[in-house]
Amino acid sequence: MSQTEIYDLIIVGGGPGGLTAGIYARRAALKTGLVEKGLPGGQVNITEGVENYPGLESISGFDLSQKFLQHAKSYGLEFIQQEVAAVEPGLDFHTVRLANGDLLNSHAVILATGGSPRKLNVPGEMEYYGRGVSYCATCDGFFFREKTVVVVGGGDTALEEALYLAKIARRVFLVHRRDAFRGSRILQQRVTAEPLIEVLWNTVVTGILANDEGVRGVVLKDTESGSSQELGADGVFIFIGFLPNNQLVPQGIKMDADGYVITDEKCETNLPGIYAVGDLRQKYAKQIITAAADGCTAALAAALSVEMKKAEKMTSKFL
Amino acid sequence: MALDVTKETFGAEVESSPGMVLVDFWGPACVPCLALMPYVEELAGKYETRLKVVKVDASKNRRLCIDLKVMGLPTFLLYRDGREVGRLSGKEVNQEELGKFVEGHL
Repeated sequence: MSQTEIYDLIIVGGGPGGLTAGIYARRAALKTGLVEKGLPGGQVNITEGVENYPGLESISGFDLSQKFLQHAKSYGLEFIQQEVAAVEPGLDFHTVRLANGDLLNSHAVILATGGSPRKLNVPGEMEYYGRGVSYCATCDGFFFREKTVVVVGGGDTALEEALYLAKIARRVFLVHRRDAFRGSRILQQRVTAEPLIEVLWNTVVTGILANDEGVRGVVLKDTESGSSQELGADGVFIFIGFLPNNQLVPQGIKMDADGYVITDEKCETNLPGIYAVGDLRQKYAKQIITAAADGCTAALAAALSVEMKKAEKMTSKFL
Repeated sequence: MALDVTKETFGAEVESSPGMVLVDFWGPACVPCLALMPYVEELAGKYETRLKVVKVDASKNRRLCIDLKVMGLPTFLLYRDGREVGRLSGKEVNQEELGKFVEGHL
């Protein structure tokens, strides 16, 4: 496409939010491009199993991502495999600058850049990331067959990954800083029923111990007594939530103190024509289905606003 | 084309291979690895005679990985005349990082 042509909608990010936006936008006949630097699906890809997406009792994250992608492509969504360098708001149209220098001009932009795993920020974590410290159990789990691993966290992801690792490892210690899990009840019950998982309540990891061979253990601190002790382990898997990928959010767009983009109920930011969906947006539940719902909302809102904008232009021509 | 290497052929294809060899450790369930794969193939084509590119399915060659201290995916090792001269892992490895890593050692 020539650079003078203007898209109706550019979607930045190809997770569930972005791909759902693509489906709705194409059904509304918007000229739509979706830019994604990695594999479509985003974080869902590294989820071993998804069991809470209605209509699909159990499906792998990778398969679900592929289904989203095929669905969007069946409506003719233009998939642009590129990294975005910047999103530049404009008065007449917005510009999405790609890492290869190409410029995409568009009436509306949906930011669907998702989140990245939050780090513990303890000594040893970054040094041994890839040598025993991991944020992806499906990627690295098999290295720890018949070994001892520590899982850190208490939400859905931590519980799911602890259960996954219990199928591979000899022993799983689940370290949680509170005295109760945040994750869903059904996962809590499964964790409790799993004899290979031992839960260490009111405990935080304050350091990761390692030698030349890689991770050898962790330093644990009891949050009630304040006492510390060492625990031997071959791997440490960290699932303590996500941080929003807000690096591409243009200046002037309102975010909360944690870096999530603030939108109205149409998922529109304070800059007209720029929307934020999924894990990037400030909201209560961060789930595949709520990301998809955001994508739907933003695409419908964008379709209406682009239509109105074009109608206005047509009218002004005749005035 | 990046050659598939196993624990049996690693010695011959990497450690006894003259010049530069890039080893891509990947796994079938490692989505970031799969995402990088086309780019790895592209590198193989781009540097042709200056760089040999091979890949190891870590899930089938676990022992080899542990011996090489590869405990997380994706990991890239670079060998010059059979000696490890560079290692890329432990961050969100993307095309740009990998490109710079290879370029920096050639």
